[in-house]
Amino acid sequence: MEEEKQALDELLFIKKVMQDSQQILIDNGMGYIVWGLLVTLGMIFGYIKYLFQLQFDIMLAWVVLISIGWIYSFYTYYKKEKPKGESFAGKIIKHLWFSIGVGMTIVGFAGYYSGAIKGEHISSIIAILLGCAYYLTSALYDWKYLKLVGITWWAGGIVMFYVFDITQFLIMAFLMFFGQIVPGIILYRKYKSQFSEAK
Amino acid sequence: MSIFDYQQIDDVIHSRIRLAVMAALIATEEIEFIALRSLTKTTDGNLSANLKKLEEAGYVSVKKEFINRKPVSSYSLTSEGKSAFSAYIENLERLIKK
Repeated sequence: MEEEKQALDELLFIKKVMQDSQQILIDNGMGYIVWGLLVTLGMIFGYIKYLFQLQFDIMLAWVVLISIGWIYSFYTYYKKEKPKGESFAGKIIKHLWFSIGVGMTIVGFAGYYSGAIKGEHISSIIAILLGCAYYLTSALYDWKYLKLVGITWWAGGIVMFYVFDITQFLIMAFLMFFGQIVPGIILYRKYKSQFSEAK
Repeated sequence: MSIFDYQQIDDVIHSRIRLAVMAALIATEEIEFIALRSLTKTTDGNLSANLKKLEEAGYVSVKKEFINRKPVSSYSLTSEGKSAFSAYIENLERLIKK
């Protein structure tokens, strides 16, 4: 009986450690922060352009900003210290965000320049895609806060489907700050505390 | 008569910290020392000693490299380690089903 209890205890212990190791954060959150800042900047440019009727090509600004984002992402992927532990969930998250990033870039540029998607609809579609990414990430990290972030993006996307004036830029900038930059900061702090020095 | 044969217990794995290390490694492909220390909630010295024992048994392999000019050790299970861990789990399950 004692041996059975010990064996069960060990199996439960193994299960707990395996679950904990699946929660290892592979991302320090910097990517979220950088991309969030770049897109927020783009939204601010757009708002100022249309508010003051300035004559500059907003799409050129987006090409520059998104290029900076992708250069940063590839640089950190290849040069930065690798994840401290690559769980299977972590692998999926990595590929999820890469694919969502590619999807958003395609929607934003090919969608716009082909004429298939109107400029005022791009933010809405991107918000919906980000909602999906955050929702899935919350499931993989088992982190309810990100689920809320995902739902917020979906709600923001729905709102922006009905808002076509310059307010849309402010809505997207707001979403980017609270739905991308803030989660990135929280993720950064969580990542750092996860691997704090042992006493 | 007990069907549990104490001689089948793998002494190498049968330790709280080494069991935690094996469980963590079975769930991840590769894991750094610092992450293992966080998961096992132990000290550097204690973890190093236990990892050495697992390495000597051939259950764990280590990869040492420099990242940002800092030495980093990453651990992964060998095929022998995976088999040993599977056998260990089977023994535990057999004991519970008794």
